Amino acid sequence: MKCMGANELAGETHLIVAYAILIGSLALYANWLWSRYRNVANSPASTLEARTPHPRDGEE
Amino acid sequence: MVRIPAHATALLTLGSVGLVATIFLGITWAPDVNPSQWRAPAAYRIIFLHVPFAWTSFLAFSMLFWGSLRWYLRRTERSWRLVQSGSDLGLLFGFGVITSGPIWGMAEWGVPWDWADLRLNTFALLTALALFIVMARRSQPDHDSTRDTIAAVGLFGFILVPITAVATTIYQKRHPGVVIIESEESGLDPAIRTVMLLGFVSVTLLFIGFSIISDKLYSAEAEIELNLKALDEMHGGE
Repeated sequence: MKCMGANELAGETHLIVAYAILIGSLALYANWLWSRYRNVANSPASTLEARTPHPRDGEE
Repeated sequence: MVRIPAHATALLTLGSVGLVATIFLGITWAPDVNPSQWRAPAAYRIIFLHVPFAWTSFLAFSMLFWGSLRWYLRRTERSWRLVQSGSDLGLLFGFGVITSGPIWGMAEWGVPWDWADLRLNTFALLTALALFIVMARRSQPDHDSTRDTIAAVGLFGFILVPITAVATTIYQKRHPGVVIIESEESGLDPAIRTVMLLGFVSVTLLFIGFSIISDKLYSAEAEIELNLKALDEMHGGE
């Protein structure tokens, strides 16, 4: 088995932190897009509802 | 109701698989660098994502520039959506570059930043420009005059892209030079180049998938905004 010296391992923590930030930022962005999608999908002002007045609209 | 296109989901899936493969191959297959010549040999593997993020950020800044230009020429909603998605994605990938770069710099150089290096500083300015546009879009009322101002920043800020791209060729202070283009100086191992190219393809697929979904969402949000206004006017007029 290959035995790694201390210098060969130098920077490993930096590598893990950098990868975590890069992957994490992509995941956060994807999550933000997903939350916007849910907001749009659940919005009461969907195309049909907004263009069609409710039957009770205008009643006193 | 807005639907996420199937091809965008497929691109995101492919890009994610490619990204995992890039990390796996970058750690297990790409050769070690000579420990006697590098202060932090393990940290060099940051380039497998850092460089693809940098390239992709240029694609995002190009989208921002194209959208800004089209906004001035045609003033269409589609052009404005390019500005919106371009600035969001420019900030996302730019942020990745200006965080992973200094982390590598800290390990290898002993300092995270060099204020005398042209590429570091012009790229930081580009990311700051994307941040400014994102913040301005969110804080200012959405009028044509606001869009004009933001598009002007996107249009003229693009000059930083070619300056950043050639910065290490014309004025190399500390940032490593061009590594992918074959030259006597680069001497890049074929395995390292292959992993880096796989990373670039993967991050580009993610970029395209994100762009398509972002465009759809901005379009749907604008439509809902219009519908809400129409509803308000309908109720206000009664």
